[in-house]
Amino acid sequence: MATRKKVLLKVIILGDSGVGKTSLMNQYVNKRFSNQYKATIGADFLTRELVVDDRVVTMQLWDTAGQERFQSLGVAFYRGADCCVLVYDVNSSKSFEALDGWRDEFLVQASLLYFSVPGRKKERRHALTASPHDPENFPFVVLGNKIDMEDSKRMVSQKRAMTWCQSKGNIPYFETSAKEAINVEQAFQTIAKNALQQEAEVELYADYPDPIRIDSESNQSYGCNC
Amino acid sequence: MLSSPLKVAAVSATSQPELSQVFASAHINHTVGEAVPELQRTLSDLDLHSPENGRSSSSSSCERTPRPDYHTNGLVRPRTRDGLRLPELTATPKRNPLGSRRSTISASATTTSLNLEPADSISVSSSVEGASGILSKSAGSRAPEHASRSRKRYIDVSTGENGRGESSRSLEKENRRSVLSTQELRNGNTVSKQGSIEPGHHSESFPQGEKGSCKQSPANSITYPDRRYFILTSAGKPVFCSHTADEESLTRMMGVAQAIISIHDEDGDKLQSITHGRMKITFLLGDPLYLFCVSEWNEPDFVLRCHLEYLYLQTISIVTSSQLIRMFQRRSNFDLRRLLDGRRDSSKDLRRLGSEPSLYSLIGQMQSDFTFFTSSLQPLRMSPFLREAAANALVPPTKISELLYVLLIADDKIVTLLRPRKHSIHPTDLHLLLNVLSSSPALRTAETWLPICLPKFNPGGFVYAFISYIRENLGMVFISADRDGFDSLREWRDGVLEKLEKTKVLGKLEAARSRHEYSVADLEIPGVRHFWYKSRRNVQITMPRWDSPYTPNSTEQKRLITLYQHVYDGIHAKSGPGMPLKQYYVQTEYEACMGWSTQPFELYLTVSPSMPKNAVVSAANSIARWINKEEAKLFLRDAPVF
Repeated sequence: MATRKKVLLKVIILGDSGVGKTSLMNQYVNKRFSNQYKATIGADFLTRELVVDDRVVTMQLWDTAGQERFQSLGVAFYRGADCCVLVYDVNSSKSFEALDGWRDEFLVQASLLYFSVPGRKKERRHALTASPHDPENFPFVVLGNKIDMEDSKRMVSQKRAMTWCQSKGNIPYFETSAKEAINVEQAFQTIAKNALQQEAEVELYADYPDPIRIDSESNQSYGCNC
Repeated sequence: MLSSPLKVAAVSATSQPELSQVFASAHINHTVGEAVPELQRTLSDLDLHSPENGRSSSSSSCERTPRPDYHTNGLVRPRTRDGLRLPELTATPKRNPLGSRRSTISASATTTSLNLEPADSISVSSSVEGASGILSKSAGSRAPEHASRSRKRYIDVSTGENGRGESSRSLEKENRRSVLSTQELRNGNTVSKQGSIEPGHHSESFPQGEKGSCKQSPANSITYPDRRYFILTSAGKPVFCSHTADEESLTRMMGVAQAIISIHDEDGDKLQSITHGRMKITFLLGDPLYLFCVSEWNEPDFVLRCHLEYLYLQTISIVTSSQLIRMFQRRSNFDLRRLLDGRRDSSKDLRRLGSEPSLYSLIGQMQSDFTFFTSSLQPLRMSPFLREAAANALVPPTKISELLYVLLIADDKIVTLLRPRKHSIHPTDLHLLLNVLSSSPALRTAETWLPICLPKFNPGGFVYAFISYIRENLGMVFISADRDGFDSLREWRDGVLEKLEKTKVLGKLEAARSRHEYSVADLEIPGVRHFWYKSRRNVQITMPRWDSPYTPNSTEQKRLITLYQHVYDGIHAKSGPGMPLKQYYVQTEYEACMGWSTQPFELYLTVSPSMPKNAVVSAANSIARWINKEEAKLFLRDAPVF
C-alpha cells in the first residue's frame, strides 16, 4: 500500500549514565546544550518532525535513564520501538563496554512481550515476538559522543567502535558532540531513515476476516426481547 | 464516602493544572542536583498500602468514588459498609516521599515546567483479573475475599504545598479533616444521614454541625469541562485524541502514559485510575490498545469505564478485533492512525488526530445519552399500530438468506427492529451501528453497503449493512452476513418501500417523528422536574426532553446527569461492596433525586430539594402510572421475528 501519510516513529535511546543521551536529544530537538548534569529519572520524551525520502516523519524520542536506580520502566516500555539508539562516551571505556549489555537488554525485553485481548473474560495471552522479529536485523544506531574533548582523554578508538558495530550486523556508527553539535543532525537523520524501514508496511486488507455464518452462531442469551 | 476527605482535600488547591501539564512528563528533576522523588519511589510507596501487608484494612473503600456531598435522607438505609472503617487513616502514607521536598516535573526544555502535586491516588488492579474484569467492575466492587488476590494498591501522597509535608501521621489526619470541613462549608453541603434502618453501619464520621451553615456555594463555580479521551497503542503511539492538540505535546503525553502504564505492568498490575484533585484519569488497558479518559465531573467510576469500553468497541467495529490483534502481533510498532485517520494534513500545526468521525460522534452522544450506561434503547415514541404496520412491511421473504437484523430508523431512533428467532441483538451493537449512521451524513444520500463489525455479535468478523434512506431522516438498515447480498437486499428494499407507501405508513411516520419528544410538563405531575424510566423487560428507556433549567449542554444538565449516575450507581451497587438498593434518595442544594427499582422497571425522578418525601413517592407513583398507560407508545414490544 503506497501511503503518503505521516509516520510516527518510536526511537529509544539507551546508554550508561552521563554519556550524553539527554544532551544529544536536546541538541537535536532544541539546538541547546547545557554543561550541567541532571540525571534523567524514568524517561523523557521529545518529538521532532523531519522529512526522510520525501516522507514527513514524526520522531518520538524516548530518552531513558542511564542510572540503574532510575531504570525499570517496565518491559512494556520498549514495546513497539522502531529504532534503538545506543550511546557511549568515547572518553570512557566502561560506557563502551556496556553497549553489549544495553543491546541485549533491549532485545530481551522487547521480545518478552505478551499480548492480551481486552473484553474477554479469560485473558488470552500469546507469546509475542515483538517488532524485533529478527533481532539481527532490528535497526540500531551507535553514537560515540563527546568527541569535543581533547584527544588525550579519548579511550575508545574509532576503529574499536566500528569493529564492534560490524560484528553486530553492521550497525551504523556516528561520532558526535552534543556540545558542539557535530554530526548530531546526520546521526538522527540516519536513525529516522533506519526506523522508517522498520515501520511496518502492513498489508492492511490482505487478510480480510473470515466471513461469518450467522447460523453457526450459538444462541445468545442477551439483548432485548423485542 | 469515606474516601472523600482525601479527594475533597485536594480540591482546595484551587489551580487545576491543565491535563497536558499533568501528563507533561514522567521526567522528574530535583531542583537541588541529586534527584530523589523518582517514579519508582512513588511506586514503592504504593507497596506500603497493599492489602497483603495487612496495613490497609480496606482498599476497596479507598477506591470508592467520592460522592458529591449529599444529604442522604430518609427513605432508604445507606449502603452498608461493614469492615470498611476509617480507611483514610490506614491509607495515609507512613512516610511522605514527596512532601518534604520540592519536586519539579519538566517534560523537556520545550515544555513548561510545573509543580505538580503527586496524584492523590493511583489505583491498580492485578492483571489476573483480565481486562474484562476491569471493564465490568470498578475496583471497589470486588468482594472482600477477592481483595487479597487482586493485590490492589493505593497511594495517597501529599505535598508540602498544602503545608502537610512535614506533618506526622496524626497531624496529617487532622489536616485532612479540617480541609474537608472547610470544603464542606464552602460547598454549603454536608453529609448527614438520618432515619437509617441499620444505624450500626454508619461509618461516616463527618461532623454534622455545619448543616446549612453556609449559603454561599462555590459549587456554583463547579464546571463540567469537556471530558478528554485518548487512545494509544501499547507501544505509546497516539491513535485518537478527542480534542484538538498539537502533535508534539500529544506524542509526549502518550509516551508518559505508556511509561506509567508500563511501570505497573511490570508488576503484573493494571492501572485503573489516577486521581488528582477533582481530575480523574480512568484507564482501560488491553493489548494492543490503551484508552484513557480525563474527567472532572466527579462521576461514578462505572460511567467512564463504560465510555472507554464503547470507544474501544467502536474502534473494533471499524477494523474487527481479530484484524487489530493480527496487525499488532505482526508489528507491535504499527501506527494505527494510518488505518483510522481519514484526513491527515501535515501542513497544519494544530489538527485533530485520528479524525475518525464515528469516535467523535460517539463521545458526543455518550455525554448525555442514558442508553449507553444503562445498556438499553430508546425507540421512537409512536402509535403501536403504526409500529406494527411498519414491522409487517419489513418481514423478509424466506428466500433471503443470512439476514441478521432488519431495522427502520427515524432520526437515529428505532422505529422497529426485526431479528431471526434464534438471535437477539445486543444493545451495544445497536448503539455502535446507530452511531455510525448518525456520524456519516454521506450515508443518507446513497444506498450503501457497509462492512461493520458488531463486536457483541462477533468480534472477529464483519457483517454487512445495507443502508438506504427513504426520506432524509428515515432509513432502512438490513444487516446481512452475506458478503454478496447487496443486490438481493436492494431488490427487497424496493418491495418494502412499495408496501410502506401503499399502507400510507411513510407519511404517518413523518408525522410521528415530530411527536417523539415530550415534555415533563405533559404529565401534569406537580413538582417533577425531570425523570427517566427503564423498562427492564424491554431493556428500553424513556425520558422527556431536557427542559429548562436542564437545557442541553448546560451546567445544570451535566450536574443532573452526574447526579442520576450516582443514584443509578447506588441502586445497582456498581461501585461499592454494598447491596443493591430498592430506593435511593439523594438531596443536594439544587435538586433532589430519587431512584426506585422494582421488578419490572427502574424510575429516577428529579424534584425540588424541599419537596416532602411522601410527595416524592406519590409523584413517582404518578409517573409510573402514566408510563404504564403509555407503555405501548413508548416502548417497542413484540416485534416480529423471522
